Amino acid sequence: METLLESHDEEQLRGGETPEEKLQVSDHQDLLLSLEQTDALYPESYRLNSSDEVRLLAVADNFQRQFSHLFPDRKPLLLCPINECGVKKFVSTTLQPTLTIHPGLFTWEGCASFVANFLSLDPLEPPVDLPRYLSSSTSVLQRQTATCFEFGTLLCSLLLGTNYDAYCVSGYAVRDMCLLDQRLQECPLLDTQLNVTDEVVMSLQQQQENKYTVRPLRELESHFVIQQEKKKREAEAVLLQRQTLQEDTQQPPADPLQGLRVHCWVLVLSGSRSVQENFFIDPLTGKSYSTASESFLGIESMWNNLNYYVNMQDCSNGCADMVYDLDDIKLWEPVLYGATSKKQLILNVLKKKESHMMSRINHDDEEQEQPRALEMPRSWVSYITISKKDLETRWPGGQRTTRYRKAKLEEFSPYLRSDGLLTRLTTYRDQDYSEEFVVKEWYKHRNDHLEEREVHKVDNFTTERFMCERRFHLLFLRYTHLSADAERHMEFNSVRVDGLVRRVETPGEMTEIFKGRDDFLHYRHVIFDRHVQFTEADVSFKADERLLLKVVERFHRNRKKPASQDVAERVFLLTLRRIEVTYHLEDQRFIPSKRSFIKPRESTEIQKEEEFTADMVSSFQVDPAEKPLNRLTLYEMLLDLMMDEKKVVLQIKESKKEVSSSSE
Amino acid sequence: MSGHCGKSEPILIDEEILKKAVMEQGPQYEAGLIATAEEIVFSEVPKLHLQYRNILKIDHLWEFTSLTKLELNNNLIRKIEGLDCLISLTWLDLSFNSIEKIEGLESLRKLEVLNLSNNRIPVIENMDTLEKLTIFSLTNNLLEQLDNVLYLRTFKNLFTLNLLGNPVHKDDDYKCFIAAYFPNLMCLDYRHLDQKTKNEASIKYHYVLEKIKRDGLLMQQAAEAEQRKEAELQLHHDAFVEFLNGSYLFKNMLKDDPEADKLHYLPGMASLLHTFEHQMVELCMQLFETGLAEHKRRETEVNSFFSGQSKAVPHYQQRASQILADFEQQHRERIEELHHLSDPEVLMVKVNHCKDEINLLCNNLMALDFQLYSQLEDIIKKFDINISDMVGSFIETVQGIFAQCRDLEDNYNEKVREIAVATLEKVAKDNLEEDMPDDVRMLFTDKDTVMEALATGHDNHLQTINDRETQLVTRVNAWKVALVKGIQDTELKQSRMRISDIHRYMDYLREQLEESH
Repeated sequence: METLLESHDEEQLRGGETPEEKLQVSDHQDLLLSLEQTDALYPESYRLNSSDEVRLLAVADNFQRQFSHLFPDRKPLLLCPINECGVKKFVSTTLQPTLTIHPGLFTWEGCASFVANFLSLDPLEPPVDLPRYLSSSTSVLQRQTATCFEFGTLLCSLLLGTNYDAYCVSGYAVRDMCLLDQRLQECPLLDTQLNVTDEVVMSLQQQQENKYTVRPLRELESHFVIQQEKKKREAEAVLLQRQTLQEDTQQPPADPLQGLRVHCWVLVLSGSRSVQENFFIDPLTGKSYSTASESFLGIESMWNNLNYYVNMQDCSNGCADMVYDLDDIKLWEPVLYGATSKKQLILNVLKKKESHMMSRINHDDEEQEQPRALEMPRSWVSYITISKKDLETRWPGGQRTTRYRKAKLEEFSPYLRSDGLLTRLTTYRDQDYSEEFVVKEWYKHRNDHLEEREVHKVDNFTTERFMCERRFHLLFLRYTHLSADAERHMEFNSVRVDGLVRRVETPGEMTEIFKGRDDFLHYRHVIFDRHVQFTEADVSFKADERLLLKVVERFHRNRKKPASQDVAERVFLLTLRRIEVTYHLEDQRFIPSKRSFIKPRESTEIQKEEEFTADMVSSFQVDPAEKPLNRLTLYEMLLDLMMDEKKVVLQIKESKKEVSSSSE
Repeated sequence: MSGHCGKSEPILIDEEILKKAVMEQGPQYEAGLIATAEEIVFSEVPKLHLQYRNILKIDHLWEFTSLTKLELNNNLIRKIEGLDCLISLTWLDLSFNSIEKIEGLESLRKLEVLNLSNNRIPVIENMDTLEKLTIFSLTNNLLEQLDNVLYLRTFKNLFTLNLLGNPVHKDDDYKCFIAAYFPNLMCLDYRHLDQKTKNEASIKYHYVLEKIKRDGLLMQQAAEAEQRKEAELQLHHDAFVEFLNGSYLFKNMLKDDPEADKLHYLPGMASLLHTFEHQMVELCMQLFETGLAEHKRRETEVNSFFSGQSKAVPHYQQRASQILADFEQQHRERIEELHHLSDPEVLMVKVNHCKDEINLLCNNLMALDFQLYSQLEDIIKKFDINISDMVGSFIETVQGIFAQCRDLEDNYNEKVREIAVATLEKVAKDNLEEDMPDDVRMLFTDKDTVMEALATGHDNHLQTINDRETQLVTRVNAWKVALVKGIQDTELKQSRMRISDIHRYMDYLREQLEESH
């Protein structure tokens, strides 16, 4: 209780104590009691006031009295709240400009998101009154809970340290902002992808027009049908719009305390750090707002580490029309009259530089000292340190859950969860958070290199994305459910040796898309025999050749070969023992050359191998001038094809194996 | 040489030997059986091995036009001959023979590997056309002159050279010399030519090499300049305004003026002529500029037409492919169905259905072709109109400028006439102030001759201008007509080709259908 008494004594010395304050102090006696034990841990500046500070407190007190006398309608100002040691401190001295070593905190975005993440909100009680105590940023960082004023103070300290022209603003804001309630806002992670498709459409339209372009013939269609379609679509759109409107209008009841809720936020003025326009930062969310934002309802006062300004402008219509010219005494009444403002400080530095240059030329020029007004004393707060660990943990306890409109966002600091989960975003179909729609999860540092998983609860399919180091260079996997027969869509990194880019598997079929292969293969479609059911256990067994019904391979045009010798499509009909080859189209022609082979029987124990005869081949050569190939060449061609068929079957087996092992 | 085959008699190449050789190197097993059943076609044989056969003379090889590799080593050949038809040959081995002179290789332009080792060749010669030569072996021959090797410097791709066992090889400086003059060479005398030797050689022969390099560079520059000049002239030609960027036309006009020399002595003629030339050249330049600009415009027009045309075809090809793919899918299913049918009546119906479908496909494809053809025809018409307009306006402009030329000429002629008349009068009155050579004075005593000379000159000038104009106009018109005609013809040809393709394919499908049941 010594400290308390001491501070009481001090206050009595200054004669500025009001009965109200006394009451307030006793209200918080239990808090102070708990603080008392750790008192010795705080530096002296926390526990005592220097002579400058005492003078300042007197000035502030005087100012408050005059203010309440001149403006009896206005609420008292937040000038000298009590710190964690129970000592009255002027708010400006609570700001300790701090520059950290972390590059992430060099910008306002980094600072704001750190402050917003690192602290959890301790709402004001009652929400319409200014707080009576304001802890230093150092103890706030330890506690990790803070009032909005402590949020603002910490953020402002960091911003001042990185040379922003920042101010703590005390004023009034809407309920959702004061209580950190984001349930009416869209989740920032839910970005709309409509813009992208629009751009694609635009680029398609911007194709070059050539006056000799042949226009495709107009498709004849009925105007009536089109109109009906249009009507139907419009009706649907209207219906949809109404639905969404209904949902949107389901707003919570109006706030009875609208315009009275006290809030503290940060104002950044233009001029420093290439800031072009003044803007607000809400320290609770870390988001920036324009100064005309409707969320901010009024400003009482604002301060930085140099001075304290009281708003003299009318803000009954919100803050949109406020002017932030702090040198204009009609608009902003400073507590310390004649003290240096930030602007003056910058000017002074410039002037000094100049005069320094000048004084080199004429030495006799003496600088004229102006009579010094009372300057703001140094901050009593010790240096704010933020450790790397603090930056990594981010949230109090390493995790945080935020509810947005129809969405829930859970965030975890790295290595907190053993499964590497960093972020989980759950979107809902309704506003009561009961019906899950999509669950999207982001991971890091996982052994299987999983980075992203998206589960559609309704359509029941899962999409997974991987980093490049994954086995088989798998980048993207999408499946309905985890069993061998499921539909599966895979995408691969382009560094694969076989050039595989995408593989789509449905029961009984498999499609593979290739890119950049030397043999110009770009498409392979396999149809398996549906009658042979293979269950989960069967996947590991060798996919037997009999299982394959048909393999279709397509090739890009190889310009080195003439079109009539460049294969465009090969169809292996394995059960029919047939191979069909279609060649590329020659320029200007409509019909490609074709060849179809029937494989001669292999030799068995009973029969000799079948001889290759001319009727096993049928060819259509599109160019009548070309000589038909002789039997030997055809036979060699068939042999090559049969070799290729064996290779293809092997490759398909490999693919099957890969699929079954990658899903393990 | 080839003494190890001493027992057998020297032979000449005949068809029998060739057939046997081809058969021996032919495919084996099943494929071999097929090959024997087929007739041997010499013109398709890619390789021929004819070594160790005591062959005396190369003969009977004219049918092997697609031969790429020919081995005739270890024979008794004395003269390189009979290889003129082997135009695709890339590999020729004539080592271990008795050849005394390099010859008969002129038509082997694709030759890359040439082996003439172990012969009796004293000089490298007659190889100018073998531009693609990469490996050249001439070991154990009678080459004596080191300078003669420089003949091979023309082959830019040569990277292996074997000259072992020649008298030349005994020269102390041999290796360095070769390394210096053949910087691209990788192997010399079956050994890798290392960088060290190359560096030494290049230091030793520094001055000579520098000079060669400089000469080469100069030659190259000259060739490039020549090429540029030619290209420019070609451009002017294509723009139909060749030789109009200067006083060429003017000089042409005055080329055969009668009595020109004498007339030039007249007072005031020099300055008059000078202005005339100046004005004429200016007009010519105007013509020239217009010509180039118009040429550029026409070029862009032609390009945009062709790009439009070439874009149209793939679109239709795609549609045709789509139709075909759809049809084939169904057709295959139908054929499959046919195989399972046994009832002849049902079969008949089904076969007829198939035939109908084939006809339908034919109609669809034909319709597509017709669409393409008519659309292309439309754009060709449009192009024709546009290009005709361009050509028309160009001709108009040109004619205007040529008219100005003629006016200029009239004007000039008028003035010359005045001066001539004045001089004539003076000569007649004999009060000539200027000093004049006697023959000129003589000329001006006869009025008729002077006047006639002037009139002929004037006619000639006009004639030259008219000729140039006519030439330009006719050529432009001819170009345009040929261009449009050419486009139309190819279009028609291509359409015909597509239609015949479609019909042939239909026949093929019908045939297949007949066979399948």
